[in-house]
Amino acid sequence: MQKRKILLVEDEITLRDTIEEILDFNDFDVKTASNGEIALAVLKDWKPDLILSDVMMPGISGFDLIRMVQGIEELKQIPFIFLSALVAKHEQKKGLDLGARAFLTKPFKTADLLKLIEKHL
Amino acid sequence: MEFNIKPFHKKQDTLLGINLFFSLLNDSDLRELNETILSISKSGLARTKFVAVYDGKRAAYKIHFVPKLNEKIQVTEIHVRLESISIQRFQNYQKNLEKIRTQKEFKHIQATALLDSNLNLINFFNKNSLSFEKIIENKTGKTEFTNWVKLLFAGKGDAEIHLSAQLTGSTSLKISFSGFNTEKSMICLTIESEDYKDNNSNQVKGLQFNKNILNSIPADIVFWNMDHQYIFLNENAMKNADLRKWIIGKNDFEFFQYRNKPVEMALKRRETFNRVITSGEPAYLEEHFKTSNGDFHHLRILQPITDFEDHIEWVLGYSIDISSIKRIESRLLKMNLAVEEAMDGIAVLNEKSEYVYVNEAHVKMFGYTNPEDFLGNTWHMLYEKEEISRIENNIFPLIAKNGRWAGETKGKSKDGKTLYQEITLTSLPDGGLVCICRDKTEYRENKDRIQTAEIIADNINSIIMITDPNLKIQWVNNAFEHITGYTLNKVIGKHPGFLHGPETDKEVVKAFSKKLKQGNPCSAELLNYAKDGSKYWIQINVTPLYDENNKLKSFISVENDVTELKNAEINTRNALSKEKELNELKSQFVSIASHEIRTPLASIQSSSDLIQMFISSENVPKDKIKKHLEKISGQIFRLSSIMSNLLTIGKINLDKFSLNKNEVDIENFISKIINDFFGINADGRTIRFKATGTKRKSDIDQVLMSQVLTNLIGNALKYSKDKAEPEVLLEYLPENFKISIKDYGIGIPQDQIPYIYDSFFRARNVENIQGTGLGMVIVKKFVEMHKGNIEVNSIENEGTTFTITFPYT
Repeated sequence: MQKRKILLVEDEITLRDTIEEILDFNDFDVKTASNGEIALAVLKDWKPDLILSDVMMPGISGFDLIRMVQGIEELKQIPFIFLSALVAKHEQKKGLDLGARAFLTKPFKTADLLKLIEKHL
Repeated sequence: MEFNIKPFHKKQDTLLGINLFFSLLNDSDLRELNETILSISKSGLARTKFVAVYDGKRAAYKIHFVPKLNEKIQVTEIHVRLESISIQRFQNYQKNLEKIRTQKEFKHIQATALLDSNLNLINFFNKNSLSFEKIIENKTGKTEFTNWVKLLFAGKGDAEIHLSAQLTGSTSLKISFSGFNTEKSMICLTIESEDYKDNNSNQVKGLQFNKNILNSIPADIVFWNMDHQYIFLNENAMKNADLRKWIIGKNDFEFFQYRNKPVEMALKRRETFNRVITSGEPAYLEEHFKTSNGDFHHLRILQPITDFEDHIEWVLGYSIDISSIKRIESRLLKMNLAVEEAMDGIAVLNEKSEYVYVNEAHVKMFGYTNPEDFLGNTWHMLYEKEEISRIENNIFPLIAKNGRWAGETKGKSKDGKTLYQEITLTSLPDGGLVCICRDKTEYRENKDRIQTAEIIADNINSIIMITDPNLKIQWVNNAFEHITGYTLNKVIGKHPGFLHGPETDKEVVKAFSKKLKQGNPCSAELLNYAKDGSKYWIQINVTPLYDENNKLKSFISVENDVTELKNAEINTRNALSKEKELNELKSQFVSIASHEIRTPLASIQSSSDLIQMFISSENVPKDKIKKHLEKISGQIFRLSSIMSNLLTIGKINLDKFSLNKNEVDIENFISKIINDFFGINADGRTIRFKATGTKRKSDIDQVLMSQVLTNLIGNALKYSKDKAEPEVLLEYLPENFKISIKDYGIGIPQDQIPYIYDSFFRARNVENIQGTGLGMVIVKKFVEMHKGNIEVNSIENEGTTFTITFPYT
């Protein structure tokens, strides 16, 4: 069976590496991007089954990224989940309004992350 | 019984059917009355008739017919009044007049005589007017007359004879006699002149003897016959002799027409005349007319002259010139009206100081409604004790001496209010007083108010300015000079706009001027410039003043200096906006701090969970677990450094830091920090460090200086990702040493450079780069504690250089 593909967008290197490792360990095909621009570049040739993204990133933010993804016909169906330190309700609402399936606040339990991924895949 | 009937115009007109009464009359009486009415309808002269009727019993009446005339001298209706008289009276009348009454043309009868068969005069009615004997003395006439009378006695009935007669002292006249046999022994003769005018003068001949007397009486005296025709006027009644001759035999209608006078007066005269001949009583008529000599008023008295019961022969008219009385009366009326209607209060007091007259103004002035409230009271009722004694002791002696006094008094109204009067008191010959007073209360109050207003205007701190409708200054108070430095003389005629300056809000001025042009009250806050150039804020309130014709007269402007208030307001506003800014920064900080703390926490959680997975799983190399344990430790360090930054700021804010300097080799110190903190960086870059100049030791607080450098170098790395490596340069200068930290990163937006040392501030281009907004606050504070100096030089997207300079000790 083909591995399910997840794109992880996170600027903070330590966290990015750790999540990548977790997903890899759980048999996902993972690609990472340290910011929005790189994520868009990856998406050009590689269509994931799910996107996990931080919000606060230099350059293109997570909110910008989902807007762009939603604007691309072949990408808009991909489930989009935010991982963010933003706890303000209005920020979370904004993320969901933009089309995200879920908004996971940092710090989060790995089990919760995996459950969420399973739910939306 | 009284009623009106229409005038008759045809011979066939009859009174029958007009009133039941006339049906009681016999044919002869009725015919006569019909003719009388016809005659009255033409002549407009009143007539009286006697009739007897039988209505179960005999009754007699005197009937008065009084015509009403319009301005065209036409009879419009005839008033009929029946007066019941005794049978006795009627019989007396009949006895004497029965025969005369039947004469067809009563009006031409000039004399009537009763003769016996021997031609002896039994009675001669017009004895004053015509000397019958004289006619008979005429020789030719006497024969003819005697023959004719004999024929009458022979029963030949009605007959007429025309004879020439010579009257004593007069020209010869042609006289007609008509006579009829009344009884066997008597003949009634009517003597009628052909030339009526001459005859009239003949008639009046009887008056001639009185003529001199009548002419010398200073009154108008006229006589009219029963047809209201003039038969005599004395010289006083008509000065012009020709006119006086012309008018004889004419009535007033003819005269007034001849003289082109208004017919109304003639109608009045006819009315009065008719009243006299029907009532037998004198009547009065007042006439007013204008001549070249002025206005005249005459009182005319019409007196009936009778020669036997109920028979009026003539009417005597005499008149008195009442012009002077009228003039006085009119003057008195006018004066009375003037006094009554005067705006000034006017009162007359008798010798006992009691009011005998007060006009309306006087009554009202003191709050009363009725003049009766004053009459009989003394003037004391209007004054308080003090004022009474002042008037009696100080003023009355002056009136006694000069006959008059004028001045001011303080009275009281009915309801006790104080009133001031300007008063004139004049003594009267009988010991009384005339008092003329005018209410000055309002004037006094206004005067007081104006004085008060002037004092206030010059003593208050607000500017008061009066301008004309074109806003040209007419007056300003003292405060104006005090605030602006300009004197009144310098600003009269100027437009207040000369006080405006570069910072005056032109929009406010425009809106303000627009409102003023519409003549509305308005207010505004404006920045003006004083003479010395200093700025002051004023709050202006302008009220337009209108005159009684509702025309704009002037503007009154009250201006308060609100500079201090305004400054306070500006300060408060600034403080508020700063506070708001601070709050925004704080909430921004909370969210940033949250992010900064949550991200390492997430890392720790993930690593910890991963280790858990590794442990549960087989074939996982131990170094993988070790790597994640190191990661956790690194994230914990990161967290603790954030916490320490926050603590440092907390301490800085509480001034809890003290400087602990010791001698240090600054070059070594910098190298050590670079190695310890920035030796290996996540992106693999390093910090290039260089020192120039002669190496020297310096005194620094190592803890604080370490914080300064880690922050600045950390920033240089953080904000220059993927760019050239940051450089640190130490320069030993003669007086001090300088450390520059240079990066080639994103730079700081030019306009935000001034804020980089504010707590929690983060430039707009770093919002997605981790940071607390506290580092530079700490840096600046610690540099300053070392008596050092910090400078920044940054260009966006090119890089930033921080330069810190310290003294060696």
